[in-house]
Amino acid sequence: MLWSRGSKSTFSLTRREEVRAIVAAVCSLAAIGVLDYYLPAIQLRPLAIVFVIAITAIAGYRWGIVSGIGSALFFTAIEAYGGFRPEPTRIGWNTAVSALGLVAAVLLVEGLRSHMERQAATDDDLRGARRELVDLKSINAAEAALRRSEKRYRVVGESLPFGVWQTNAAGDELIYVSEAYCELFGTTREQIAEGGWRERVPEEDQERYLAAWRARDTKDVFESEYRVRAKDGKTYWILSRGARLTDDDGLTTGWAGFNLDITRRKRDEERLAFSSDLGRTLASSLEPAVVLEKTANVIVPRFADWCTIDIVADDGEVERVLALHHDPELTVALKKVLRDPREAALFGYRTIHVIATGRPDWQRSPSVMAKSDDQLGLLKRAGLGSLISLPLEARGKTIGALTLVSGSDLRYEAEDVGFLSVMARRIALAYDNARLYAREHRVADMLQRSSLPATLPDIPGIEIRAHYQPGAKEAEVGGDWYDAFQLSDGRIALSIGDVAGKGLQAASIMSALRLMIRASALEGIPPSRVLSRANQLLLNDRPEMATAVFGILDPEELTYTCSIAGHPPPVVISQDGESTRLPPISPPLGVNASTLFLEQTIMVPQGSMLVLYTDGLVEDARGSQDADAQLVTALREAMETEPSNPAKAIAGKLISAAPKDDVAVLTAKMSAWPLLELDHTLPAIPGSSRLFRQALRRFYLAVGLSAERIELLQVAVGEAIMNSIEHAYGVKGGDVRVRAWVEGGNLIIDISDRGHWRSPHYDGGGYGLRVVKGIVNNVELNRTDSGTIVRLRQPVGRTTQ
Amino acid sequence: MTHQARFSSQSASGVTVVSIEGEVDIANVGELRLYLEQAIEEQGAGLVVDLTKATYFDSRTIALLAEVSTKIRIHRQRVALVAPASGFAARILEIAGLSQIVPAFPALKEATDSVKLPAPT
Repeated sequence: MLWSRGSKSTFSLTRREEVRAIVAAVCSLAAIGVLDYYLPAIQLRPLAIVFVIAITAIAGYRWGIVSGIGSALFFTAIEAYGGFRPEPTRIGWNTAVSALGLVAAVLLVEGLRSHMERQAATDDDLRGARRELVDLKSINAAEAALRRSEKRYRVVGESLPFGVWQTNAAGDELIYVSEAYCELFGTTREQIAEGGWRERVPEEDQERYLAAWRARDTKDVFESEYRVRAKDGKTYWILSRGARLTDDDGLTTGWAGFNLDITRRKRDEERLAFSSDLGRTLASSLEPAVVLEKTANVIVPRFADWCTIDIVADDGEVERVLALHHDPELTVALKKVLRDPREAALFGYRTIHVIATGRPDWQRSPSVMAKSDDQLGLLKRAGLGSLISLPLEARGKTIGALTLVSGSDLRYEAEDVGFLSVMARRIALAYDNARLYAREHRVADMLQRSSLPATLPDIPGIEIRAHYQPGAKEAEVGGDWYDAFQLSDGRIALSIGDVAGKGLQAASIMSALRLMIRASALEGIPPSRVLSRANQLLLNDRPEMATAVFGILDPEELTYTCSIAGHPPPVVISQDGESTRLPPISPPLGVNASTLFLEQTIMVPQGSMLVLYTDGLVEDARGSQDADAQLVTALREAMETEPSNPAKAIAGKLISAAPKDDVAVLTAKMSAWPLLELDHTLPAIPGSSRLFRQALRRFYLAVGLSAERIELLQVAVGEAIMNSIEHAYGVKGGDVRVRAWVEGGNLIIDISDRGHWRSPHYDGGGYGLRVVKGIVNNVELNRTDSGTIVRLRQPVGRTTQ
Repeated sequence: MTHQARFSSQSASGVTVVSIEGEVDIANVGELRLYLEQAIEEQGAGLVVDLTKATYFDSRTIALLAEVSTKIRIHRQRVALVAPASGFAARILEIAGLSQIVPAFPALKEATDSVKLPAPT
């Protein structure tokens, strides 16, 4: 590059280059002399001018003048010596003309070169500037050279957009700064020198700059980046670099440097970092509220002092779901004031409009129409210099708006709108995805919860308990179910199962299966055929597989008769810790249409416990050899410690707090003793009377009544229960309670209700009382404010018939 | 069998036989009423209610049977019950005193024959 080579020759020429130049000059002159001698016809003096021009270009004008004078003297000497055209009278004239011509040539070339340097200097080239900087380091020439170079330096500096600068030796006085730099600040050189630049540079950047400036002494080069709010309203990032100037003795004579505009680079860096942070954030959660919260925390404070997010709710109303300021206190205050996005005029920006039109809004110094001075003060504290409001668009719909606000009125440029709009689209899509996902999860979760029975049957002498624990992945809903309900003949249907897969589909299949099994069981269909139906349902309708156990627990026979479809078989653990389990026989549901489901029966003696579970229960233990042993140990412990919910205790023992798979456990514990006492409460509905009779039947059998006596006693007690049901019938939440026990050789049965006494509107056509009195010889009726108690008393060892 | 009770109705040579199998209480006595009223409307010679397999019924059923016997006389029909001796039905009918209002026979044949006779004038 011409200008840099030129400046090199001007500022410093090494000793070697000087010697080379002199040798070249002497050789050239000798060659011209020889030519002149042998070819006198050729006029060689113009050659001397060419020679001098060349020397000037190579070594600078100092050497040009020296060589010019030298060649003039040379030709003069030749002529004086008696050259080839001795015209002594013209010697002096020739010498003068030659010298003048040479000086003119030197000045012309120098002028040309300066011009070209200026031209080159206008080229905003960082590499060139850096080389200049390196060159600056070598400013240790003499004072004179320095002063000359300063001039050149300033010429160059003025051509740089942000100019150059120079300080005194102490570094506390700015002795020069380019005009361009002053223009940028919109101030004079003096104002800048007096510290006026501080007004235009953000405080944190000032501190960074001054810290770098103070640290310059430890280095030879100074460098700092800072922002300037320019006169034109834009914010520029400036890189300032400088080098120490020293004299020959190595003493500092000052600092000089230049400024570069790195605004574009800085913005690209900032955007790149923001974009990648945003990408990470958006991928980190599937919870819609969390997506917005985290996004806001990436935006604030880097891209805004505060921001708000509005979302269009399902009902079409716009809700402000988020307001965040980098100052937590202001966040709280803003949340209160900015609750309603419809108060659009209040804050001068109208996100409602942005959402309606889908067009971004960019405002500088937005107008504020606060309701009170407090509000105005708050907004001013929060900062209201400039804002960008961007529509959040996903799947062709505007689902909300993101508004960024900065305290600085120079924060956002028109060109930021494009970039931020792209970011807003990414945020919107991530939020919309999370919302869809959450919606599906919510439906699946609801479906699953509704798929598990709301209550478990309350049966005297049998404790039925269940435990369900969802898998660790909260977003996934499992396909496990359990169910327990009493058939109208008093037997208890227990089912458990596991649909392959997760999510909405698994939950809906599970729900369908559970209800189908329940409906079939209530119809009186035996377990093997219930599972056949379930198998057909899956094969015909749903391409899914499921495992299940369905069976019926008979509280009188003390048996559980079930069919098993590819599921872990039920276990019975006896009072003394012996475990028994059925062999698994049939394959899962949904595999083969011709699968036959066999029925097997397992004894469930007094004091033992029947346990049904899904394979999630042994997930953690699986793989270890003693998985079965671990299960049995857990069951034994649940028998010994007698927890209120054995199902939960077993699960707690075997699985971690956050199991991978979901887990369902269902237990039915038979009371250790025959039913010698009964205390049973059921709702006052017609269907309860049969369930009471079934419980009473087990009590009568336990106390040793004959079949004939039981039949009649059932009618007598049944009449009393029917009366109570009718009393309480229609009374909200009415219950009927039956207590039965043996006392002093007498069987005592109390039937009570909490309904207010109403005379029975139907007394069995007069047969009711006759039947009761014909069967039981001691009947007491006790009416109180809180209800009615009928007490039947009957000697155990005697019959009335 | 988890159904509480199963009712069936068969007609042959002018006699309708309604059989009760299982337990009848407040929950399903209404269903039994439908069967019996249907039989009355058919206006055959007679109605037989077979209680042989009834394992439980209470005063509501007894009152319903008494009511049916009253109604059926209006239609100049006869009614009879089947309740094997010393079985549950026979004993409870005895206690309630219904056997004096509606004739009860130990076997279906006797009951059917009894309602085939022309009604006393």
